[in-house]
Amino acid sequence: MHRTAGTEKPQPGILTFIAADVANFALFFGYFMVERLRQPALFSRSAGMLDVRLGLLNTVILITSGWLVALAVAAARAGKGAETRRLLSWAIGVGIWFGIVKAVEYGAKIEQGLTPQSDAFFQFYYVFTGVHLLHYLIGLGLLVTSIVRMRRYDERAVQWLEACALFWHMVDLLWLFLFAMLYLQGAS
Amino acid sequence: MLLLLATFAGFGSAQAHGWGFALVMLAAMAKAWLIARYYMDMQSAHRAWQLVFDGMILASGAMILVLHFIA
Repeated sequence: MHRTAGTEKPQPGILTFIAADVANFALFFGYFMVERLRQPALFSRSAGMLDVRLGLLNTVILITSGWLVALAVAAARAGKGAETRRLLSWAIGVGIWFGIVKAVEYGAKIEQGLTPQSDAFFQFYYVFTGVHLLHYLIGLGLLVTSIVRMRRYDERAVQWLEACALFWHMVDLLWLFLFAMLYLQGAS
Repeated sequence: MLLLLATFAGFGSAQAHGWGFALVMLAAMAKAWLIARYYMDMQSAHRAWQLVFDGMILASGAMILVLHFIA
């Protein structure tokens, strides 16, 4: 099957949703940074307790998965249904590791006694990464539905995939800011 | 590849402060911009959408940086 389908332009409906979600997160970032102004030493000390290597690993995982999804969208637009499903399967297979790494990280922190009750930084850490994790799980679910829908290749399936891919890229984009702000920010 | 390079550059600046953190944030903003442009197909979106997403990436990064330097 070789035909061009899909819009090749981001759909305004999903873009509106994503822009609103990103704006929400931007407010979260502002709230975190303002709270950090009050107790920079505590925030810096607590940030130092995070495992930067796991954060880096998750960044690489999401970037790689996002790249595979972008390739899947290009394959779908080119009418390559089987290749689209294969690329999406790889994207999900890579993406799943983000959740596994996050679970390992949460487990290690809780074992060390670092919970949302520990201090203000860890409250933000668990809330932000938890809300992000929820987005990630929704995104993963959407990618699975895309594979199912791509079994019957048509224009609507491609448009569905494009919308789901946009959501997945938003998960990736938000993580880049969370990683820099939570894991890589030391005291000034 | 650019995204991965920028990620590893940021890792080298773990627990950065001052201008070191400014470099980390600039790398994060550059990665976010690349994702919006090339993964999210913003290069083919209407100019208004490009401005919305570029503006949010720039505003978020600038806000984090300014508040970091104030602290």
